[in-house]
Amino acid sequence: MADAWWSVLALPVMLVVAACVAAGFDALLGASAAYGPAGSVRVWGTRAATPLREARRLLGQPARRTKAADTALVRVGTALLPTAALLAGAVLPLGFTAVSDPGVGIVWFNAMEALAWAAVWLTGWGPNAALSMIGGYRFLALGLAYELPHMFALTTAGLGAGSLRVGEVVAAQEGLWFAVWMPVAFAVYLLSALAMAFWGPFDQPVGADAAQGAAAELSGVDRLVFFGGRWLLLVVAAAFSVPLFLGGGHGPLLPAWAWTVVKTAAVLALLIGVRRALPTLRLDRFMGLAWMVLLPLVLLQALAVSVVVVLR
Amino acid sequence: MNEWERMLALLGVGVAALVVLHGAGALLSRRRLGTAEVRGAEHAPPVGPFTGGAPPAAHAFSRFHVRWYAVAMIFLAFDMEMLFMYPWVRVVAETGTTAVVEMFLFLGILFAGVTYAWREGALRWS
Amino acid sequence: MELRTVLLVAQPGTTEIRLAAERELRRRAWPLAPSPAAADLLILCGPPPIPTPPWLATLHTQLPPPRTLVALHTPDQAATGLLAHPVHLEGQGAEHPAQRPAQRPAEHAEDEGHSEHAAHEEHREHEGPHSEHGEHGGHEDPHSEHGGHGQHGGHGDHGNHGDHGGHAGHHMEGMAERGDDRDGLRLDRWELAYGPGLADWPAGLVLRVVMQGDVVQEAVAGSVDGVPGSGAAYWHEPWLRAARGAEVTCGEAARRRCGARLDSLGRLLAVAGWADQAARARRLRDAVLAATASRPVDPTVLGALSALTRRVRRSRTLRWLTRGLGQLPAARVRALGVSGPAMVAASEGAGDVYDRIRVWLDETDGSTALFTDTGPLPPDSAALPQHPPSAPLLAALPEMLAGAEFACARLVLASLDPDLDDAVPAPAHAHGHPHAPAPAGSGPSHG
Repeated sequence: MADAWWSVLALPVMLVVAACVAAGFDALLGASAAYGPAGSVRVWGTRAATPLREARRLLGQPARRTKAADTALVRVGTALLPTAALLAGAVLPLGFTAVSDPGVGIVWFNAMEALAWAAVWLTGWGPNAALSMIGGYRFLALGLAYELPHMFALTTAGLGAGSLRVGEVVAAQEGLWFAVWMPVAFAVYLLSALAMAFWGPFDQPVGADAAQGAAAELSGVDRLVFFGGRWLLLVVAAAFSVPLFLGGGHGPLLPAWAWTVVKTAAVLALLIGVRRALPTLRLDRFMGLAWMVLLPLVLLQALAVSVVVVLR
Repeated sequence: MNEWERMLALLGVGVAALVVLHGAGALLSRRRLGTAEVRGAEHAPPVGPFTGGAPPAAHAFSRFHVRWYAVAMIFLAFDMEMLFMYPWVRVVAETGTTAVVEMFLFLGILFAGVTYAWREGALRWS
Repeated sequence: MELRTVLLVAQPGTTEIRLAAERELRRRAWPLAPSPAAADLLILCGPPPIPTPPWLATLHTQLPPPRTLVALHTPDQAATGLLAHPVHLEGQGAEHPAQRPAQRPAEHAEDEGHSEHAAHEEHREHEGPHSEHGEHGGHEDPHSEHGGHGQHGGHGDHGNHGDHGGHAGHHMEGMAERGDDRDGLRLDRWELAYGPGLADWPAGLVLRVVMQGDVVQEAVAGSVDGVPGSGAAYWHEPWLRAARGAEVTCGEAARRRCGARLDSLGRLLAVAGWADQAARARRLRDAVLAATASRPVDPTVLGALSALTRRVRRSRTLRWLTRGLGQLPAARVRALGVSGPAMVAASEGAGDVYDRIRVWLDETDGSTALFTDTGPLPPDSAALPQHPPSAPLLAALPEMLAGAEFACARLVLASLDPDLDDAVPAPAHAHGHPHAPAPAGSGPSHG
């Protein structure tokens, strides 16, 4: 439990920096597919800075309204996304200290991350536009598909430690990482991390086919907040896999905080790479997979872990 | 600060950051376009929704055909189950085999329901 | 360099301009926007129709300020500076309240539209009647009225736009009405029209639909108003030239067909949400099309091409997502007179979206062997179809899209990929020189 009050200020800064680095990395991957390999360091740098330039562009853009829109809902929806990510990030330990480590840390993370449901749907509904509404509803369908396997993956990690306090889950992995002996829960968690940030193959709510769906009518700061919030959510979701399954700050040689950063970066790079490898999954196809494959698998995983816990 | 006061402080920081961002956006857009034009844009009539150029005949606000409503019902059942699952996690080691058997019987019954819904085609709609 | 995000809108008959614009945007690393809200620059391929059609005026006002509209009249203009040709929209319809002069956005045009209207002249050669445009007869000659539409209120021509599927008269005044749906429920119906400004959308296509939720209940395909039918389909051009007696090599025809397939593939992959492979397909398309007899396709491009087709073919996810979707069985193919990849897909498989993708991949791979073939394309070898190859595809759309979810509908549409400018004049006969590639829209050359 950290005593440093300034961690409340440091966390948002660190998350934003991580999001910018991750977005830069993603932009590099995208640019090498779209424009070919970077010829020089200068080109490389320009490409990596694209997200920042885009952010600057959006920041200088005046507001634009759609007819009979519920602008307040759009504001709330877009603002909710980074807020949810930030609050979920409160329980992330850097090394072994988090901003806050309540006894129900895992439940808190789950509750905050689920606010994205409301955020995306409100953003999609608000503009009174067909495509953005289609996108908003797609996120609800996505939520129905990913949320249960996700929650069982979370509880499985808690089960292994016999606690819902994130610090105790990390402490329980001092010898053996949970990813090693509960690989299915780890894999399902990673999938659901992609889904909760509607990232990669789960980006149908902001799908290219519907002109970015829920975000189709967003411009200016609203757009920046929405997509920035999505990056924060992806970073937080990736980072939370570290204390849950990858042993948190445990590791040889390096200090604990460095292990957290290294492991988070590795997971984040994996999640960013996955998007490039797969087309968007349509939810009517994914729903069956989520309920009939992922859910039973993660339930069996939870059963196996609980048997181990009882016998231990 | 205790653990929940920190959450509240974090919320405050987040909201403040968003307010600053919107304020900075307003300032920067005025610097880039000029106050008159920004004000003009703010008072401009709202634009129609984008579907590629042609205007729609009706508002998008409507009763949306949610074809996965059956899934939503099953989901609710499982979601309620999570209320028990979280506290259960903390007592499994103490209570032992009984806790595991009871919980997974419950989950098994729920999953039988899911299997039924799947066979009825509730999970596929397109 | 400043970052601009571009909404690129192609009109029918402007394929070559669109390709040039995409190339230039790639050179500048300016991203393409999926919607006007995300864009700050609207690039229109082809001269802006006069009077300004409602769809163009709408798209323009939907850009967040400061809005810029650039019209590219020729492919060269893309390279000579995208921002050198900003346009004032004139003659906007009185029935569009959003475009009243008071709210008309400030433009950044220095030389408002002299050069551009002059440039019209040479690009209006395809003025001939297009079968798809029959119902929009009576387009006024853009030149005769040039100069006078700054403030006119009632243009006689606007009657044409009034019948925009019955939409134009009442903008968003009502709430959606209810009607029976696919699943036997009574639900709200949205009447919408998609296109022509959607990204990865066939140029100039307007799809009028009735939606319930995200399910398409009814769909009718048409083309944008205000655009004269084009007689010059870029993807058919080598065969048309050969039919007119010009000397065209088999290699050129093969490259053009490969480009056509990669263009379709890029569009479909983009709609399917596989942005990286879509971008690769487009980059390779341009590399193949840029080649000439003296400057053949680079071996690295050929390598990348086969890597791309292999990657797409091996994607289990893509197969899982597109199998069984949008079936156009052989019987319907015959009844509708469909030609091209959709016909091959129906004869070799179930005729679903995945089969059509496979046919594109096969034809892409098959064409590479002919890239350096310097033999002449015999004028009578062009197995040009009797009908415009896309007309049957447009006719097939209503039955194929009814009942499809929006995402599926987009995939089905992208897999048919109708090309609204391919009104090919039918030649007398078609006999094949065994190696001569068939034109882009028609059947396979191999076999």
